[in-house]
Amino acid sequence: MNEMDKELIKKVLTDVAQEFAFMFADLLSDQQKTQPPYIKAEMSFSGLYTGKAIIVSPDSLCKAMINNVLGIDEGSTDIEVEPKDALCEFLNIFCGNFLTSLAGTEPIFELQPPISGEIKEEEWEKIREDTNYLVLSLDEYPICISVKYQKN
Amino acid sequence: MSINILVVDDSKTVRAVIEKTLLLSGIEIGNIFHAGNGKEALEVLKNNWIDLLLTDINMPVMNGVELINEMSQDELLKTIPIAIVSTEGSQTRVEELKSKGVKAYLRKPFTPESLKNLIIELLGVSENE
Repeated sequence: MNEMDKELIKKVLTDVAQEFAFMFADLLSDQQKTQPPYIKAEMSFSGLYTGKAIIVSPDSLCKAMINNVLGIDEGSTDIEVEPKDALCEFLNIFCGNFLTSLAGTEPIFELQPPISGEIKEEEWEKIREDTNYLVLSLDEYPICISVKYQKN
Repeated sequence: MSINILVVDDSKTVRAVIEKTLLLSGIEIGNIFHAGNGKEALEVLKNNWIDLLLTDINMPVMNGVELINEMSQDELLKTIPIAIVSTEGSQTRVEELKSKGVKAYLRKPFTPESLKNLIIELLGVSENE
């Protein structure tokens, strides 16, 4: 991932996190420890650019995101909490906004619905060290993001 | 007059956010129906009176564009006001959809205020005091 892509990804992710989930993005400090389970969401897109975006985070971030978005206290049972669903929607919004930032508002992109699943702690640790991912924190929770694309 | 709204989005989180926004908006809401894709939406439309449809575009099974195309071919369904609530950023596509009868477009992420204003503008309803 080149520096220009990293900057763009960071900017879009910061904006979307603030507007969608009222969360603030920052650089991740090494001290931040997390607990499994971890969720990986990915989606592909095609059009002027073809590629794939992936977001990985602990499920605790997804739950915090839902609480922020819906304005409920942690542990509330009034609304069903679906961590994977929140991360998929966050990725979906990120991806749409990233493509506009990259290509402008004229081209039409086809976005595939996001898919998600739980990953093992070993895979999470590998992703955190992978230079293809940008690792940030959202309100102290770590989040890893990667976007790979090529122009058609 | 209370209005019935159908919210079509594959994300339960988004449907919950929209529902909560509608209920807090001060607009007199009748029923809020949910559908996870276009096919489910058509089933709801078959069995219920809907005053306004809010739909995402990017969904599995039947996406928002396919849903709008289906509705545009039905004499009754094509009269229902449709607003797109989506991450779609292409003005080219938005213009295409407007030519098929879409009345408004709200890009994600949206604020509760912008959703409320969109409904007030589309339906000409007012807030309860």
